[in-house]
Amino acid sequence: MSHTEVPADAGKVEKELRHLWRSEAEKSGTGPVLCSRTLNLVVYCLAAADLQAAAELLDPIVMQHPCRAILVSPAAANAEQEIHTEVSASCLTSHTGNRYIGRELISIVAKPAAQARVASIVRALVLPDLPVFLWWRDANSLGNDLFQQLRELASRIIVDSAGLEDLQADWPRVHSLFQSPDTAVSDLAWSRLTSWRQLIAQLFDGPARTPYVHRLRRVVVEFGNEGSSVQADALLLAAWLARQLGFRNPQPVPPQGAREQNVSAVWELSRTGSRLRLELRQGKRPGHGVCAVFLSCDEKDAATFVVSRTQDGKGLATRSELPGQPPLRRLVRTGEDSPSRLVSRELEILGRDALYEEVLRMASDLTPALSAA
Amino acid sequence: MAALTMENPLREGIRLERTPDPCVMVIFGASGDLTRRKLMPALYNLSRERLLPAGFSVVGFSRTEMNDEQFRAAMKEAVEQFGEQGPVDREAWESFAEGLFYLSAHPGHPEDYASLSSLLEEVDRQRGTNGNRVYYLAVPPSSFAGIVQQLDAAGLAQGEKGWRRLIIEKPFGHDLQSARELNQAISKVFHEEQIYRIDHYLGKETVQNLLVFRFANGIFEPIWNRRYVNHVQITAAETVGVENRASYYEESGALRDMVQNHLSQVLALTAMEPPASMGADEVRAEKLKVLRAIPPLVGDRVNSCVVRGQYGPGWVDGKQVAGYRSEPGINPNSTTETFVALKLFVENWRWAGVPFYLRTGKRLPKHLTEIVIQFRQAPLLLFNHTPTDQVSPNLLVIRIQPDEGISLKFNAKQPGPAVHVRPVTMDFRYSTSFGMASASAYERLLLDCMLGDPSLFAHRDAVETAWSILTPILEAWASQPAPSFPNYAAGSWGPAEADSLLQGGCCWRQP
Ligand SMILES: NC(=O)c1ccc[n+]([C@@H]2O[C@H](COP(=O)([O-])OP(=O)(O)OC[C@H]3O[C@@H](n4cnc5c(N)ncnc54)[C@H](OP(=O)(O)O)[C@@H]3O)[C@@H](O)[C@H]2O)c1
Repeated sequence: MSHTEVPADAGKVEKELRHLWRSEAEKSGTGPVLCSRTLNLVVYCLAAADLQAAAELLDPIVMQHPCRAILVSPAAANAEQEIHTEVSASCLTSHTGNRYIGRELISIVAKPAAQARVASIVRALVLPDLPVFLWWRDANSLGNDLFQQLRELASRIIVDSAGLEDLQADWPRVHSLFQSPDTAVSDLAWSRLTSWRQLIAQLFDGPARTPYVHRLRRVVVEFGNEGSSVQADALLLAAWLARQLGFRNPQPVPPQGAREQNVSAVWELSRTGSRLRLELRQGKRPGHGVCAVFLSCDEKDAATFVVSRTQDGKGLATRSELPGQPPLRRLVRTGEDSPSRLVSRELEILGRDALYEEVLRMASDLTPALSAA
Repeated sequence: MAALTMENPLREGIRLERTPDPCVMVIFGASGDLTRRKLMPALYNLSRERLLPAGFSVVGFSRTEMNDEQFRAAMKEAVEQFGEQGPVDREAWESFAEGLFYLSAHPGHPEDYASLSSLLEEVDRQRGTNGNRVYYLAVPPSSFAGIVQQLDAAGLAQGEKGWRRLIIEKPFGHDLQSARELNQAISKVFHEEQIYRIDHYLGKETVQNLLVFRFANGIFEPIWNRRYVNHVQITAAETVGVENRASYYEESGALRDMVQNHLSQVLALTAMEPPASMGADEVRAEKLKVLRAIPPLVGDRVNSCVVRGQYGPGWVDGKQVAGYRSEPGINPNSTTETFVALKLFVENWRWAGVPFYLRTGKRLPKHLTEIVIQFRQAPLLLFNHTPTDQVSPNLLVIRIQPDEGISLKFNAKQPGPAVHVRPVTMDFRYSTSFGMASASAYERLLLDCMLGDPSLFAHRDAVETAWSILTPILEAWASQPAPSFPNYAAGSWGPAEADSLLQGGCCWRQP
């Protein structure tokens, strides 16, 4: 795939794309090639240096979702041009052997002085009648001017709240951005939890097992040992569990006596007639994200449930123990949660995720206690 | 059926796909071809996709001597050979295989059902499957009724705890009489809502998409009727011959093998009225109305509206192939049809007078299934300036397999000073718009059955109605002198008479 530099002008970009198409058709020798695009994907990168990495992440995504991708990034301080635009288009071959134009890539790199032009060029370039997804790859700059301009175009914004540097400080700000009624949000931290949620939910399917979900009294979410603070994935999973189990009003529980090892935060939540102890703690496993979830019922039931990431990181193992029954174990492969795969899944969803928004609210109620961590 | 007494609150939300209650699938004929080729690869894939419940288990039941370990090894081999994923992941397979059990048992022996019953109780205890059972009859149809009776006698067909479902494979009978008998024998034991008749065509993504295409778009339904449609063609063509199913096919033939089930279902989906909702009962009721509106072909009309054929030697896809009568296991004087074309009418307000042409056959030039809607010509041909300008009718082609897609043929002006009209097509292919390959039909159908959703399964009434349309044809054929087979060369589009079925100067689309 060759990149052609073009002036930063939507008309010229379109013209160059048409030219690239024609030459693809000539190269293929079989007459006109099909053209398929199902969406627009606008990707904001932290820096020009990130563009190449982002373009590579797009490869597997466009195989699933042929699209026009517009990459935008601030220019390096020493860049020669105020604004620099490149286009490329390439033919893909479907799994049934059809050749088609399925990828158009436009990248726009602009210095702060030219920032103002960027949104207007993007606006002129998005294909009409197709949804626009805005993938904002830098959680810490969420809310800046360019973000505010581009979000107006977007039917869905994709972010990863795990990238927030200071969860306790930033969470409320991010949370408020997501509450706007006309923007749907995909949070990759939440997407990574889909397989966890699926497996946890499955532990309680069926009339023999569902009663136990209502008797859970202790939830522990353990996350990887990288970094020194609570991670967004773990916070969201804890918030989800607490909310779905019907508990509200989280009260931080101060660390007891000699501080328990590795415990990051503990809350007690209540529901009519019962209480839940909710713990977030850093485990010993390397890496980021959730490593394990432990669920247990009150003492007289002695039922316990564990879901944990396998050693190789590519699967989840579950184990449930009910009184009077042999333990039931299971291992499933979840594959790696690569950003491409996660984003690809998000591009399938158009509406808002009401549950996520509810969970965000619960997570916000939990954040004040994180300072104890 | 035991309803969920309590909801699982963790199931809320749009991203969690439904998973069935923990259950056991008992496969009768687990040593056979279907189990290895289709069922196990589909079940393993579902489990990989985390769509099966934790305690999901399989009990294989057939005469072949095997223990659990041997069964597991055989199934692993089958998944590696026929699944699309290549070698299985060792740990994930082992976790899945812990739920596979095997019983060497004879489908005719009552005591073997007692062993089955105690094994199932043990599985319930160990794996929390709670009395939920799917019985899958992957055995020759002659033993369907016997197994069902034995299940009943052993008290396995109904129960206090959990649900019981039965899956049966086609053929559902070989004519109206036998279909009724089979349905009656089964309905003595299972209620209709427990019975899932698999028609794998209905599990195909594009067949389901037909409903989305018709009813999620506002522009097609208004012209989907006799005012605008000239006729409809449904083609299901295979390039293969009888392969290794000679004895089955000799008894069946193309009409029974394809038209009774697959083509009549596709026809019903194409012609049905919008249902009140997408609920299983509503959709199946509308499909049934279509079949009921098709007058059976009787008397002379069998000869004027039906063409049968059998292939002789020829060339398919660059390979020389033998005629049907020389295939292994086939009677050298066989009169079994390997091709059939029909002209049917759906006599209701929407379709009265619009012919529906169906054709299917083996050893045809291409492997494909498609629906073609040919629209009426524009009322006035303004642009017929020269004889070379033939304004061709608009065609909407819905390709079901392979390479699913939709294309619309319309007329456009060739660039230049003169007005020359040329047909052009506008193509939409699933493969280029949605990169993922869709789940196999068996995966979809097995999951639906475990979830208790019968939408994509054939209802007793539809099966019997389809037979009542086709049985007069079978009877007329039986009473006529043997046809002069073979009457088409392998690699052609069937006998020439099939072309003369089409009225008003229309012809079959060359796909
Ligand atoms: N194979 C396919 O692709 C396909 C496609 C569509 C529909 N079907 C239908 O699916 C069903 C199973 O197909 P299949 O190809 O797997 O059949 P199969 O291999 O011929 O038979 C399956 C198993 O049934 C047992 N069996 C054979 N004859 C029996 C009899 N008379 N009584 C009781 N058990 C008997 C055998 O196991 P034991 O000897 O170990 O008992 C055999 O391994 C049939 O109804 C067929 O029409 C199959």
